[in-house]
Amino acid sequence: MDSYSYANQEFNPTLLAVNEGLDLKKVENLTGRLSAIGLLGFDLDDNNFFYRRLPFKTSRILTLNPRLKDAEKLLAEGKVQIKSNTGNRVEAEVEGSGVHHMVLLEADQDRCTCMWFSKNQGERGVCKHILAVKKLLAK
Amino acid sequence: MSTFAEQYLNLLKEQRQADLFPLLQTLTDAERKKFAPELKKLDTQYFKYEIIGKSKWGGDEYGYKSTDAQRHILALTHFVVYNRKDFERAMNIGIIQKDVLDTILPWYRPTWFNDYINSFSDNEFIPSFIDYGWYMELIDQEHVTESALLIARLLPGLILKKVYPEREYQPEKLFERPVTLQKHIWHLFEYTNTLNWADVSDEIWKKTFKDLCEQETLPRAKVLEECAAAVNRNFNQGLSNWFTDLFIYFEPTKAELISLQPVLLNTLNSPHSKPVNTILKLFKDLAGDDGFEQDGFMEHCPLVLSSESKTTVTNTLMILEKLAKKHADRRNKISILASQALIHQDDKLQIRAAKFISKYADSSSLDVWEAVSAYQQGLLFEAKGILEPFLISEEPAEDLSDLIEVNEQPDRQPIAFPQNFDELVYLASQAFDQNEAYHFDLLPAAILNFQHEMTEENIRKLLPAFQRAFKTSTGDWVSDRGYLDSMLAKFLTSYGLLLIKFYPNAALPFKNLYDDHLNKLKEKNKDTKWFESGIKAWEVFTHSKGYKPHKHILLNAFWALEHNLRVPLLSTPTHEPSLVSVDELIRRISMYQNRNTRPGLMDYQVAVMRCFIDNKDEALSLANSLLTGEPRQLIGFILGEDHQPNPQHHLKPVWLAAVLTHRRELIHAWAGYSKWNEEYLLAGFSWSSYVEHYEQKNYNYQKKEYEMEPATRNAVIVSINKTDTSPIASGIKSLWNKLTGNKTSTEYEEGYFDFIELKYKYISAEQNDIKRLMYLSPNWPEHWLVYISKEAFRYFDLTGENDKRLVISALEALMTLNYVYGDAGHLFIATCMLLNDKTVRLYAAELWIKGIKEQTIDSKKIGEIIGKHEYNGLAPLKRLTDLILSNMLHISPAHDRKLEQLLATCISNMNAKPLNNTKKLLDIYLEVLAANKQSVTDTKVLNVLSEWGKTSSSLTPVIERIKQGFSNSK
Repeated sequence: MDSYSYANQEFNPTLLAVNEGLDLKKVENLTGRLSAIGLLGFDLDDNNFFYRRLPFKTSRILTLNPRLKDAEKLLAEGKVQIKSNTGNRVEAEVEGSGVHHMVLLEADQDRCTCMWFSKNQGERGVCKHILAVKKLLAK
Repeated sequence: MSTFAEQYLNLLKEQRQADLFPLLQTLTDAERKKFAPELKKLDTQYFKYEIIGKSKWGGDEYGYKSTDAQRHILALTHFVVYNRKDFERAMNIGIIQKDVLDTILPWYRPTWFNDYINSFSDNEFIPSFIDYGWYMELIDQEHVTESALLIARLLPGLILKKVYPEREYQPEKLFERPVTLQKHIWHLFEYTNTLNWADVSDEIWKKTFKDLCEQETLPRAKVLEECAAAVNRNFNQGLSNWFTDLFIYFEPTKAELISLQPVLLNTLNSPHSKPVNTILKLFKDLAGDDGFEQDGFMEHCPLVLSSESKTTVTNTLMILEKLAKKHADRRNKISILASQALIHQDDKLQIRAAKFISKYADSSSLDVWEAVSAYQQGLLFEAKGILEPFLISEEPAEDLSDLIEVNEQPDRQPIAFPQNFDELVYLASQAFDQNEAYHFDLLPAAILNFQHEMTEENIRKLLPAFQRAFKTSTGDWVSDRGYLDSMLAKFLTSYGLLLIKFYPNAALPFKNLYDDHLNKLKEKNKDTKWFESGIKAWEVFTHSKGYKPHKHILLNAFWALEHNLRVPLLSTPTHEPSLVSVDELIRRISMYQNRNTRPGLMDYQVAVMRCFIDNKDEALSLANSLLTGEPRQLIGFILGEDHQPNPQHHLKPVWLAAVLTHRRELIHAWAGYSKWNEEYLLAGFSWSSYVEHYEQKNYNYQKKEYEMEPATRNAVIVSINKTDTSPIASGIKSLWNKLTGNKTSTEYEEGYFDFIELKYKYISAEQNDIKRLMYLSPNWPEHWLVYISKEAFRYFDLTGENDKRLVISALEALMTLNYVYGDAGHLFIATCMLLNDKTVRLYAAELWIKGIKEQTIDSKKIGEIIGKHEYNGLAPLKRLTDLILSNMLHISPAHDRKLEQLLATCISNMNAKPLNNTKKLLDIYLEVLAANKQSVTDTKVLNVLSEWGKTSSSLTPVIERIKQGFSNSK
């Protein structure tokens, strides 16, 4: 990312795809993913994303995201099980402490029965269980 | 030969400090590193603070078992052995000082020493053992490199020798080293330091600078320039102000000021008001001079004119006036600048700016007109009068009734009920998080609805929710949890146990989870009685009856679950925040009638209290088609039909709830359905607020004993007259009735109105429940407001966070409701307008604005209550005047008229002796009268105003102006 943008520059995924000859589908979720790891901010006045240069090496980002790290751990321990997948609706069971959490991915909403999700309802990002299911589906 | 560690240990034990340095000198770097862990162990042992015996007062005496000499040996060793991190962490008192380090530094200097010493420049306080003299010696000996930051911190102490308790002035110290005056003294202007503290009692440093300039040791021009620059260096307020003072102390001449203008103009950007105002005062003298940089000054005007300091704005206007006088050709431009002062809601500033504009600006100039009219909305009446030629002429206010927007049918938001089992699962897992207040009601209703779908797979899906329930009822208490959350958790746990009874195989996963949790509790030696007791045994430790309605509804649901009945709860809200549509209520009641069973009485009462009606005729025809008998009559009564009390009624508490929610004017006829007096049923109460005299226990240090001393505190006393009016049955008769279970006409079925109570000695979790308690009767939560006022306002101001949370939650609940406030609502809102929490005051003001719009609030009552509270000055009047100025003034013509009523009743209830800030209150009253074009006719108000005029001459002009009135003005 550092080689594509400079600090506070406007970030436009479509433009990036055109310039770099990337598939548009590939950059579809790019803004969301980059924002989640702190590389993009959103300017409410200008209504666009802007690039943030972080004060540490970008290779460390993944290790600084505890939920993503935990999701990797869940996958590594084989605790994620997809129960049904109809394309629009994915139901999965993820082993938690003492119980199995039910993860439901639908077109407009992702849900989980864990405490993190129940408390924040997705307002502070998704929980490790949803992340794990998404990662498993992406494999 | 013994190892280093052994030799060291012996030395330490025998306290041979003389042998320490030779021993330490034998260490190589690698050995130092190796010995560090050993030294840490010794530290733990020798610096352990522990019980060393009994004190002379009989208690335990704490201290070190090691000797002072041993600890000093260890501290010296720290310096030689440890790295910086370990050294800073260890105990090192008395090591970093000249006499000690002079004995070590010649043979050993740690690599971190330079950074360590220079890092003191970042400390808030620099230890007294580091001074300028020693620091310069360390530099000379090349132990440290020079840090300008640290020099700036050390230099202020150089000319002052501390001779306790006095200080000795020794300016000659400045001349000891040439570098001090050539280079180091200028660091004082560049880096943050403590000159302001060194100068706190006398003006030693200011005098020193002046003397040095007079002796021509320092160039005066450079000192002045550096000083002006220092003011702009973003130093803290104290130091910035000190440099400002120094600048003035030098008494700069006009020529000097003119040459320094670019730097001085920058000072106007300072965040501190003193430098800004000082420079503005200097500019005032300079403004008439030809050398004055008027363009530069005018560029800075928007910033200073918007300053919160009135002096700053006034000074700027004065300078602008001088400029306007001198430059006739630029008057319009200067007036446009001056118009920015109109943004302030302060009559004096507005009048000054208005007079300025009307004197110098050309009223036909479109630019001036545009600039001035932009402020028209916020102009106070006198300024408005002066600026009339520059403003858009206003239409006379229309009739009051046209201006108030009455929303007949509020925009109601429907609540989504779980549509399938998965939605129940996600509702159950968040039911204890209070994401929505109505989740409490939704959960039992949804379980009733899906009770027939409890297969093994579905029960497994519910396990996370069951686990949350276990943790909620037995885990550590968290600050945002209410007792209702614990109650709901108990309900869900009990339902799980019921599942084991109904479906032993399918509910096996639940049983395992339950047993696991029970075993864990046992392992931790926790009492399992509470966990094992079901919802029926649930009780709050305060024994407050206020929680019973919720518990009874859960019991109503549990009863239906136990009996496998597929019926809905009547009270489950259909619309936000907790309302039940009458149509849905009719349908739900008909389901009970069709199954030939009766709804739970509490569920029924709460449903009736939550019921709202949008279309009476439609509801009536639905009731006619679906209901029969007493329920049909009850719904008809709610919808406006005439019905009378009837001894045959089975639903007496429900009828009473219907009367008190929907037909309060008929209460007299129906009061017999409750044992309580009418006044209580109508949420009546009496209150008074006053300054309470009481005795306080204080410790007398001379007599060495506690004494009772008179003290005062503010108090709001709310008294609830709750009287049992039922005839007393004779002892034998009542015993006979109890034994036989007979109910006579004098015995009542307990209902909602028997249970309203907010009872606590110290508030603990009630603040997290109050919304849900108020939402039991969203159409009329007056009883709850009486109880909240009684508990939370006892000493007027709110003291704890929980009290604040209680009041704020109640205010938030009121924001979502729409009902005509009674006495309790008015007392609550009016008191909140004066309390010591800004959020509370702002919410109260918002409720007033909303209440005027929806015609649910009586401003006269609000004014009367505020006036009574202020009779003795329970709250600073400033809280009210600031609130009105920032949030209640000029909302709309209708609001202004109601504000006039509020102020009139407030003033007429106040004491004949004016309080502080009465002038501001009267200014606002005058402003409102002018806006409404009204005059004061109320004799009570006029009397109080006359009394105030007699007591305080400063109030006379505004009182006279108020008495003249505005009813005849255009």
